[in-house]
Amino acid sequence: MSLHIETEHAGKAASVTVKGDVTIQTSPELRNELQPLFSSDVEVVRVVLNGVEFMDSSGIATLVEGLQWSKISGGRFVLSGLSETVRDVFELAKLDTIFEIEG
Amino acid sequence: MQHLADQACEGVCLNAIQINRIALALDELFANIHAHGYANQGGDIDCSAKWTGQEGKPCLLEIKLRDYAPAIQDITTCKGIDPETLKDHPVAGGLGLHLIYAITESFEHTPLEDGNQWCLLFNLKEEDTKT
Repeated sequence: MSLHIETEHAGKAASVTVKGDVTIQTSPELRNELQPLFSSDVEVVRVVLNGVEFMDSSGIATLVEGLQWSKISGGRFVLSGLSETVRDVFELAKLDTIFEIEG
Repeated sequence: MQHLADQACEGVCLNAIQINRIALALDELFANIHAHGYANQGGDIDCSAKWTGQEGKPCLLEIKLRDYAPAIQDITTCKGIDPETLKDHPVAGGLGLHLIYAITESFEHTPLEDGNQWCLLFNLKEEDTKT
């Protein structure tokens, strides 16, 4: 399944809306979309995941990288709209507490 | 993987989270075999699944995979990252095997002369199934 990613900017915030499965095949696309945001003047990166029903460990690893980049740049990295199944994967990985998760 | 999980669970009526967990565990194991066993060059993987349980109520799903990659003698050397360490020092990667262990009731590996056998046992509790 292909990944559809759309990024919108509003002031110093960027919202990255993701639709599709985030897997070892598609997670590089998400990584390529996220990485430049942390070398810009964006202070808040929000990843909207309500169009994602399946995410594997490479997808989670990509978001962990985003969290790392946000710590280095001093910005916020927020996940929102997690589906029931994606939230379950975060809980299984015990990573639900290290991310700022909305909604 | 979703298709395989759907096939294994056909007629059993599991909820979305349980089906997703089965698909995820298979996805992670296939990805590891492909990347590490077959060095991303591709290769055969045999797969079988069976339900076991009592009084006609399936509750244990056993899925076996068999690859023809070089045998791994000691899987404990590749258990992946401990998520507890991520809280203070987030790093990407190494989560796949952790997820498999977290999802399955048991996860066993047997080295063979010409490959590896992997056995995943899923304990699907009654409250996790729907009628």
